[in-house]
Amino acid sequence: MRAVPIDKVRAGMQVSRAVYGASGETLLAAGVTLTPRYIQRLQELGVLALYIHDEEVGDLEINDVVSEKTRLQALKITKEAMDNIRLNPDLELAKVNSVVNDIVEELLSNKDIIVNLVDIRAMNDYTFGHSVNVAILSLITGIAMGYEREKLCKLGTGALFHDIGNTLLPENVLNQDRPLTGEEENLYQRHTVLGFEVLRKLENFSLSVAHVALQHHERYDGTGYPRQLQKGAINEFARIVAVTDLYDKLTSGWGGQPRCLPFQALELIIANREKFFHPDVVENFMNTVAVFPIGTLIMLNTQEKGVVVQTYKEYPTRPRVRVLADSGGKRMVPPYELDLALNPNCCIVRILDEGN
Amino acid sequence: MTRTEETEILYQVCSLLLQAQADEQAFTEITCRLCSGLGASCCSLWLARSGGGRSQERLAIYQAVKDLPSELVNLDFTVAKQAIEQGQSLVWQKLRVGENQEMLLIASPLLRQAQVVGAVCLWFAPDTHAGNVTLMLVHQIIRNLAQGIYNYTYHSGVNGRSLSKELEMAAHIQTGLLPEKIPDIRGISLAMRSLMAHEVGGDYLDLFQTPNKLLGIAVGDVMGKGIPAALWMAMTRVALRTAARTFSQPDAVLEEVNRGLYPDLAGQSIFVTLQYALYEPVKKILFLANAGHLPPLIYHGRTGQFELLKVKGIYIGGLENYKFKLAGVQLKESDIVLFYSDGVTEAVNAEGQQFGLRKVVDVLEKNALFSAAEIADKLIIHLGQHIGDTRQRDDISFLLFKVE
Repeated sequence: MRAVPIDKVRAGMQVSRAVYGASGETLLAAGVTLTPRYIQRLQELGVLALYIHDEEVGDLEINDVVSEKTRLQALKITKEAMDNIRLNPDLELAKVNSVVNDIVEELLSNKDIIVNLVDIRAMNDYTFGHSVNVAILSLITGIAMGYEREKLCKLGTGALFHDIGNTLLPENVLNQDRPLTGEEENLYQRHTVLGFEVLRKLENFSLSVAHVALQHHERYDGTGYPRQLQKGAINEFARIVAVTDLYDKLTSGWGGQPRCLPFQALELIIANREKFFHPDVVENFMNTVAVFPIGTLIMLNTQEKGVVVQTYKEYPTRPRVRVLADSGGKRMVPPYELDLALNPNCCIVRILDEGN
Repeated sequence: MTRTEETEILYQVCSLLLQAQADEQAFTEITCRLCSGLGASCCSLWLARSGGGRSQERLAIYQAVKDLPSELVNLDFTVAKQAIEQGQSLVWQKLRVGENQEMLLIASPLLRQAQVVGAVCLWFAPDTHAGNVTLMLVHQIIRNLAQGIYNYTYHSGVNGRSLSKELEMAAHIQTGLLPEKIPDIRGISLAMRSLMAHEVGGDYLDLFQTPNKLLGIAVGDVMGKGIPAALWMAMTRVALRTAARTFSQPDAVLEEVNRGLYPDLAGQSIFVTLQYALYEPVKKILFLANAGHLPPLIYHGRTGQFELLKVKGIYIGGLENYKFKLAGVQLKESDIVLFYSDGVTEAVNAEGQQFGLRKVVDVLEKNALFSAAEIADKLIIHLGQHIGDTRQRDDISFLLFKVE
């Protein structure tokens, strides 16, 4: 299976990963064959890409870093909490703690975590999927930084609600597929303060966790908002969320921007270390996501075409590749696999278009 | 197997090889005949490639038995690789293929006039009685396959160039001249990459450890293409390596190379640009002398600044007894030094735009936290994304190291 942008998806293709709505309901189950109506509906919901089963590529196993059950549970609880907050500023903390705990335990039991999946979600319910994914990415980074369980749970909760202030903003500021105007931008920036105000009033809610909502748009060089904090003055958890928040937005196609490939998003983050981001966080984060995730179609320097089938943490640019076509474009039947890590003469020269 | 049966298989293989200069379909047909004739479960044929990139390409594979373990194709690749790269042949070797399954293997490099042109692998069920297949017959088949594959490469230009015998040799010389092993130098990570253009170019990269344990880096470019360029490149390499053993300062080394090559170069319209650098890993100092080559790019990881280390000097063969200048630069942790050929900055895309130095700096900046090998891989990918399917006239080669 591999990710295909929605405009390249055709009727007759088979979906290989389910698409879920904000409350965890299934919008489209795995194994379903697409019809023009399904595709239209998915476009209306703002789904930007799908995982499609590809006959030529063959079976690819892409494991999520947490189980589907836990991810859906987190999605549901986040949505409930965020929906309720408008009416009744009281959070069911026990439920939240329990799901954050589950995520932490699953991640800790998983050695050598490397993120190979791009989270696919509907734009209409963007905030919830985004929140859960940012929490997961932040936790993996926290683990890489050597955090203990207790600290991880705080980080996870803070990350899960970093955008809770969004629920208090007018709809038209959030669901834009164009850059915001100056006035809208000012309004949007208020979500940090609004979120913080909500969270800090909650009973038993740690103040340092509430600060994630307030400070996740602060920048290392002091050019962020709302308070232009610098370097060490920025909350430790907020420094992590600043990185994972941007990474998730870039790779999922936020605010009408085209989706970035993971390696492009990663490069942008590395280039902005010590400008926007704390260098320690960047260094720990960059090893947690696959530069060329499983399913990426590539061309080798031998002009052969292939697909990434396995990634290695130690060799981010040298995955295992299944060779699908020879240098003349003739299909390899059956395809064989080669490890770029063991074949130094061989390297990837291009990423081929997801749609072709 | 009777003699008649043996003769029959050999006859079939040979006639397929002769027919229409053996195209790819014929090779698939041959693997199929070999399976049925010899009772093998699977047979594959591999071509040894010359020039840049990996050293092998699969010409054909045939699986006579259904449900062979999926691991088999990967193992097949590895066995062929060993045959081609190390000349290793295996006869009735028992190998574990997938879980709880073993198979017998005959694998052999295909040799023509002592040169490896390809490989053949034959896989048999584990209970196959070895006596049923005479090795004499296999030898004869291998000999004929070697000739057939040689003819195929010679006529079809599969090695990516319009192959005349001479150009193929030049390409061999050129690839052979790239350093095989990257020396292990304390405190730095080091990588080099080379994408060969469709013609034989004159790019030259070399690195080695000098007698006083410094890292010597030489990059150069012979103006011109084809065999003369490849030959001059080879001569320059020998001259430089010899000079580097006797002289310790880069300027003195270039002067010695110029002294040696000037008499022959001056008479011809060929000239060689050459740069020689020495890195001292304890004090982290880079010394450099330059004979008309592009200045190396230094990216300072701590500050995000970059500079070109420009040292003036005329190309090799330009002036007799020319005095080269010596420059030095103190490097710090996380600095990246890139030596490159003009093929990098001048790589063109379909619109004719060059990649340019700015983009090179960009890639270094965006990947500065990785070590040299990853940065090199990323630079290649960015170049590849830029180039797309546009044919390049120049080799693209570079060498970079990062102070860790």
